[in-house]
Amino acid sequence: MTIDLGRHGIRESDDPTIPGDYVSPVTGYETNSLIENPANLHQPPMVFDPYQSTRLRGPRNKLVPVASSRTERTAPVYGFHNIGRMDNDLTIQHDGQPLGEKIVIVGQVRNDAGQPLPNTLIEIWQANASGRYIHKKDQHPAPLDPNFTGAGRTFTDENGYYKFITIRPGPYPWGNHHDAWRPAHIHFSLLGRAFHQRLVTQMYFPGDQLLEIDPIYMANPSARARDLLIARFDRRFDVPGIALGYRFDIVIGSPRATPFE
Amino acid sequence: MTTTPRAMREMETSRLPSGSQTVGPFFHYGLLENGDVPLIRGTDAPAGQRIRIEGRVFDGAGDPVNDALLEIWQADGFGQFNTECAEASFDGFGRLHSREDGSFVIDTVLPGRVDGQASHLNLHLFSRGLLNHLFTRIYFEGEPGLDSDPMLTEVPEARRRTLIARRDGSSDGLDRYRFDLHMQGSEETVFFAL
Repeated sequence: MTIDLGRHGIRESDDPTIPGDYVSPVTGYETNSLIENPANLHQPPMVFDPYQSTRLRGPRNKLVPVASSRTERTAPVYGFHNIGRMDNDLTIQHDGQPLGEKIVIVGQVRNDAGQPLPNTLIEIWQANASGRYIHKKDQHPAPLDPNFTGAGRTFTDENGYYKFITIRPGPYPWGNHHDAWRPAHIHFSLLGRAFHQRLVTQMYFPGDQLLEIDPIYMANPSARARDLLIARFDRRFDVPGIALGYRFDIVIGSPRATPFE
Repeated sequence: MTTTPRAMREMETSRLPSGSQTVGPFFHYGLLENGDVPLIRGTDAPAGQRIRIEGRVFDGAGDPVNDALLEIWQADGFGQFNTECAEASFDGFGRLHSREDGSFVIDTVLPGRVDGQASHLNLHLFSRGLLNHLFTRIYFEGEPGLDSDPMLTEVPEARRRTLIARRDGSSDGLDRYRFDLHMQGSEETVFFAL
């Protein structure tokens, strides 16, 4: 499968660094990139008090640093999903059209050396346009959509690109604190070609007023890392008259330690 | 909201590892569409000693965690990793969710030793309230190499037992083990950083 990147193509760049003080291109906020440089400051902490579920679930002991062995550097070929050609289109899984705003999400999966990661399994799941998950434990009294399940999967192509067609999920209230609302988001899960290439994250939408008051999104101390969880509105990927395009690239880090053996 | 050229360039060229976010409570229909992914599928009978590991996941208050996701990756009974053929009878990958009482059951074969390490399963643990997934290992009581395993010996001696499944008898050719995961507390399981 090769993903059509649209009529404008994809620009190449070999300059991933942003020197000096960092001003968010999304929110306009300034952050000093120098104090953010250590890699572990670009990931959320294990316990982040405003996100209440972390209080009893995040380990309190330091992670034990280890070198990787062959077990960490290998991974299966994923035979457990019999992925259909259309599994990346969440809008055609039922007889009728789902409610909501149809969107296209295109992105590239790379490692932290900038190399594209082909043949990477991406699984997504999300709420419907009303902010309701089909999950049986979701108690939000918003309506289910009989034409929308909200789960999709695909592999990246030979250049690391993927594409999903779905609808924009709605925000929804949750029980973390009084009148808490999650910003609209889509869950992403990636399995690479090594056990350590594992990522579960969430994609957010530009301009969402709920982001700055969301304890899950804000748990990452790095403004730059948070920004990169927000898809870019990108009309190169529009299906004209049908769906608006977004770009969401994903970077999978490498282990820091030197392998033993 | 307008996307500036700089915002676009940053997205397309960043080498900063993407931030982890929690799997949340509703992952089941996304990641377990057809139910748990067992290590031993259907009537497959991969070579090796069949084992069953039964355990529970607990939070820092000692309450069961009923919405955890466990992913297993392991060598086969010969200590080989299946990285080439997805159709073989054992690919070493499993995915399962904890039940209402926090329990899980891993049915598999005892992995062979890899490069001199003690037999082990690799485990990723995900749940609501975990902003980053956790990486740990399950070793097996009584198996050779525990004292010299390069990863296990990185762990302070007093905490190593949190990584060793306890032998719990045998029946019908199946060796049984117990292994609980404690996300916090005095028995907190050791989790690793690569």
